[in-house]
Amino acid sequence: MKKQFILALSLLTIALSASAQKQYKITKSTGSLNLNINGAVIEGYSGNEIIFSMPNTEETEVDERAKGLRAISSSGYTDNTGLGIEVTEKGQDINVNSVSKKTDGILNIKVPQGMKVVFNNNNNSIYQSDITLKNLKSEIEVSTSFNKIILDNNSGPMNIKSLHGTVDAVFYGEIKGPVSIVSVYGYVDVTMPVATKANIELGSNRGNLFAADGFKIAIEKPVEKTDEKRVTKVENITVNGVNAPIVSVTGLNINAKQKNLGSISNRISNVTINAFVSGRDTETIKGKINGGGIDLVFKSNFQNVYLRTK
Amino acid sequence: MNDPIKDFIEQNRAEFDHLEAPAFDIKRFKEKALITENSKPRTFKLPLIAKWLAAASVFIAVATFMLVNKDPKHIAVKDLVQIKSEAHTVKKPPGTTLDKLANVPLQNVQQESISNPQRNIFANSGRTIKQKTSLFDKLADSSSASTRLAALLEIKKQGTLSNYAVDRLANALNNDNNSNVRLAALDILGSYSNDKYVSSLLVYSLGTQSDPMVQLELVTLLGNMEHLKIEEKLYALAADPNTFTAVKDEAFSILLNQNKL
Repeated sequence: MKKQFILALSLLTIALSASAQKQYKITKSTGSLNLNINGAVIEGYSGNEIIFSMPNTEETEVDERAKGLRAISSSGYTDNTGLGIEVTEKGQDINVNSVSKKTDGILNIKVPQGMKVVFNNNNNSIYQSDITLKNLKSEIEVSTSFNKIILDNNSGPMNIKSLHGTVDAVFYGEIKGPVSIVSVYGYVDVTMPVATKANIELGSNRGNLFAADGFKIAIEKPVEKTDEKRVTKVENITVNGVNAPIVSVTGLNINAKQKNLGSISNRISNVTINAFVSGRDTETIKGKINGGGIDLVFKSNFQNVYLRTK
Repeated sequence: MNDPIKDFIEQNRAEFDHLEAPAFDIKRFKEKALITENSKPRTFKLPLIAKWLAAASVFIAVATFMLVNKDPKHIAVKDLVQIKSEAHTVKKPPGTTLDKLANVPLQNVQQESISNPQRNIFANSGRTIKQKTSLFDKLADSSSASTRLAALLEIKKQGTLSNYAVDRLANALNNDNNSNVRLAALDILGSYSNDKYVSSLLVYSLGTQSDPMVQLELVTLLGNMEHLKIEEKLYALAADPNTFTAVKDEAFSILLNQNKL
């Protein structure tokens, strides 16, 4: 009996200490939540309070010397939550700013589903945490430099931009447009239901576009441009059997010079030239899925775009 | 001293002696004096205010002349419609025939612009104007980037752009807070890049664009176009250490391809 009692007591103590997360709550269920922090897990839920929490790491050392003092930072923000962030309310907006650039843990934020979420992190440090956004039903705006972005079970509309980070998005149910996900150096990977009705635009400047077989994209016919602009270098040309070095090329006009022939200007028509084409292998697909509907734009400059089915 | 007059008088004394000195005629003297007074040139002094009045009237005349010459209202309305219809009102993406319109006589153009509501804002269809204005209102909605993006995608679907729409798109391209919105505006303007006004706006944006993602697309787009004097701007981008790396590389490669380095 004594053993069990001691066991129960010790378990209870451990359980209590483990659940002792630091939390900060603010009552708001409409308007916009503007986040300017290093990384976070943002989850939508059906409540009316925004709950910020930071899971306790095992080695939370309490600095004895700092008792009675508050941490200050060159950022100008002061920690009014105990979580390393400053939360202020301004009109319809809740502004959350990170006090210091260091991240001591991943901030968990529970957001009422009616609130718009805006996340900005244009920090130039490459050591950034991931951002996860899930179960949100309102508008989402994300603009980051290095953070990796994970979107899970949101409905949109959303504008996502990342310079160096990758974007993974999974949509389960109905999507509310427009959805625009753009990344410069990272890939864009989107999973969505096959039955989605959408006007889709996929684009990649230096990468490829991949789509699952389940998607029948009715591609819009691209406007044809003549290839004359793509010729940028022509090295040599034979005129009347004599080799003439090229002096200049403008569009389809070639100017060549040769001792006996003087200056020759010739316009090319219906001739195939082995020329150096400038590396503009931009791939863009604009089309409709299931007849068209909401607008979806998924683009990556240097990497691939993947479109998967659910 | 040699006084020739004295010598002359002494020599001809005898002839002078019989002459009598004329009596001083005070009357004649007075008359002469008065004549000289009156024959002074008639300079009249302007009162000071008259000088200012003259200056003011000259200024007003010059200003009115300049205003009248600047004021476009005095161009006949007919001429205005003709100028507009020959120049920029109808912008269609490449692939559609614009030549037919250019040859249409003025009268027909006027009629067309009234009956075809999609042409431009001068159209008389009330409903279309309302639709258009509501789209542009959405484009100005500062609270929601998604609303602005949706408005842009709607404008893109319309297929034709008025000058006003082009200006609004350029404004979105240069000043919007959200990169995705700016990219969408660039996408629309890019499809009309054959038009001189649009391409001049794009070139202007190249010099002022602050968003690196949009800069990259802009440089790629303009680099592929000919007859643009953008070498200096590209060079400035390539040389600036603060430019985003991808933009720098793209500007550099375009300059290299065009042999402008």
